[in-house]
Amino acid sequence: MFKFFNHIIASTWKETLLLRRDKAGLLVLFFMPAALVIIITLVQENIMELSGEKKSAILFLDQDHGQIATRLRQSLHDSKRVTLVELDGATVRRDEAIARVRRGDYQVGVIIPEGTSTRLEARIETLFAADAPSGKASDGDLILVYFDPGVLPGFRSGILAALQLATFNIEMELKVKALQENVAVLLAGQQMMMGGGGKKPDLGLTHLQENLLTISEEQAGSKREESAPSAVQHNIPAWALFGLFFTCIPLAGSLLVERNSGIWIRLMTMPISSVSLLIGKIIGYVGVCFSQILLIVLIGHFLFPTLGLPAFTINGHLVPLVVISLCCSLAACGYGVLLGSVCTSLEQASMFGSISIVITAALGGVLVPPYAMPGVMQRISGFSPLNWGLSAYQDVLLRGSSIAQISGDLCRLLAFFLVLLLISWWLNRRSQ
Amino acid sequence: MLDLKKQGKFPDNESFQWCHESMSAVASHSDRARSATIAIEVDSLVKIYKNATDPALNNFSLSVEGGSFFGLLGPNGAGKTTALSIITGLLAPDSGSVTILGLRLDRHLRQIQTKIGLVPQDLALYENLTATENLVFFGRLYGLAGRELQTEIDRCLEFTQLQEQRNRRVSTFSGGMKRRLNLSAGMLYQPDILFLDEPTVGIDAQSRQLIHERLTDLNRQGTTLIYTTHYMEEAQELCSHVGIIDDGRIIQQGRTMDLTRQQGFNNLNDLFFSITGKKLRDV
Ligand SMILES: Nc1ncnc2c1ncn2[C@@H]1O[C@H](COP(=O)(O)OP(=O)(O)O)[C@@H](O)[C@H]1O
Ligand SMILES: [Mg+2]
Repeated sequence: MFKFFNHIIASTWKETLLLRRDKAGLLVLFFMPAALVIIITLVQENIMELSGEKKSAILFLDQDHGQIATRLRQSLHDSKRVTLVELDGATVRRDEAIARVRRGDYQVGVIIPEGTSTRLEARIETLFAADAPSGKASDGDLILVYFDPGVLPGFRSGILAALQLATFNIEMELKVKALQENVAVLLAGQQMMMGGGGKKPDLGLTHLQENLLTISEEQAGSKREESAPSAVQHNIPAWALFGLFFTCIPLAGSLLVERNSGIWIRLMTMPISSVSLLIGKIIGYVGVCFSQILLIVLIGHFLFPTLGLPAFTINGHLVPLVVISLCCSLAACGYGVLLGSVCTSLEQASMFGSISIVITAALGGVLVPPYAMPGVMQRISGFSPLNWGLSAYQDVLLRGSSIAQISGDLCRLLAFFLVLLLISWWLNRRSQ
Repeated sequence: MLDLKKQGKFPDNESFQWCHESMSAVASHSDRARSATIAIEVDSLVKIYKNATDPALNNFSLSVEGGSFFGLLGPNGAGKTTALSIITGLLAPDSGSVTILGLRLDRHLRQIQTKIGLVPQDLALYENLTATENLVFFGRLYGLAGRELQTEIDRCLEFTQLQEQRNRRVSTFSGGMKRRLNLSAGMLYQPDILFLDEPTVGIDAQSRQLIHERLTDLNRQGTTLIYTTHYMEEAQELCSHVGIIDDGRIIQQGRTMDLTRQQGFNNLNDLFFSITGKKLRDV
């Protein structure tokens, strides 16, 4: 056992030395994700609409059963960009709906509280009634909107704007109607009071500008959730993951150098287990992965604010984040070992490795969040290891999930690692 | 620290002896006498590579006396590397058996591995590590550490005259220096049997001469050497025994002197061509 650990240490030491000297490789590993995360985040922050084509799922909880719901539903339908999922306001409770949005099942939840329509109608009625009290009306009703903490700000503001426009229209229409009905009475009354003086009659038109219905944006996340969901919170883990998976290429390269020279032959004639050598190698590369993540996190935390972007925060979720990072690093290493076993040259490994990572990253939601993808792609996305890693990161960063809650993704990542190691082992045996 | 080092090294020796004894107890008296002098006994190895039609080894049998300098001679593609790979446990044969220092290879691989060293045909060095770092890595895998490792590295570097270049990266070495370092790495831990697969291919005359001298020294100190080459002059000069291999089987083997004289040739070169013919072997 002591010897086994000694071999692991020797192997890690050797791998670290070699890595430190591969300046070009390190430059790519660290520079590429750093540059990508800065550029992409700067670009995305300025996009108001994240995607024009795709439909997002909106949870619609109507507890009111009045005309506001009918009208809002209509205008959301018309906007074609969203799919409405109706919940029966009579059976589903409000906190239940909120929980579904918080879990990320739906991107938006719209709740129309009971009695909103009747109250609004009644108030408009009184506003323009002849005996209406002058001055500002009291605060109006709220329509509650909950957002999945994972949605990007562009999407968020798009939805809010659409809802605001819809409520404004409803309100306006009701007010104009009330005004029309009362205008004759109002005019007569005013003239009587003024005694035919030159002053313009007050029809209560200032009430037209008042908002009686307010869209209230609520926080769906847990109480201790302070992190503002933004492109930053999405992009930092996403691009850190992207860069991290690229370590599989130098790892495959180091295996290929050993296999294609006499080194592997010499090692195999020594009284050592190849498992200890492999563990040592993987430890070295997991170290690289962690350095990459650290670099990206530091960029997000310290550099982003100087570029006018929000700072990336981990909100004290250090332990789950380290656990996720470890699982992702292992998954990347497993892929590297497989590449090193399947490919015959470093060129092959780099080509195949980088293309496959870009594809898996795109599928996994690094470029575009999975919820913004078409339905088929969303389902395919579930097969990408980068998706498992990313969704685990986001669950922790945005939804405050515990390790137990993300254990599914963690297990998938570890299983991916182990299965790829087994396949590599089998391939190596077969090649004899 | 010292204790731990010993722990790293001694259990193998003990278990090796234990195995040796238990086997000898079963073996007959004459067998025991033989196994004391025979370092390597190879019996009817057959190896057909995947996707190959002709066998790389075809009933390959060989016997090497302990303490000898054995040259395995053959043209390109004769099966020399394949034979060494099987004898050092890298490759499993399709059939046949290998016994090293009285231990069956298929049953006692780990014990045997502590007794043998291999200098592969392809360089087995990390180009981006210095000479010392390469040796430190391989030495640590043999369980060496601290002062012991340091002395062993010094010995190996001095042996191949690379002390001056010890802190230079291998990538800056000439072909001859790399070959010498490759040899150094195989000598770490002082194996009883050292296998060398064409260790002098493509290097300068001085390096070649130095390697020749060093190998002769090593052999005098008691190391059994198995040396493959296709340079006949080299074999004539160095080897006490030779085996000539072609088409995956040993065609002639014996003491170098006896073999040439018996067959009525002046030197090994003539004998070699009379056996293998002059047809070109391009593989
Ligand atoms: N990995 C392999 N796969 C298939 N054939 C091989 C492999 N290695 C060697 N051979 C074939 O086996 C034969 C013996 O090769 P080798 O042992 O390398 O010869 P030598 O070392 O004497 O030049 C050759 O015909 C060679 O082409
Ligand atoms: Mg060869």
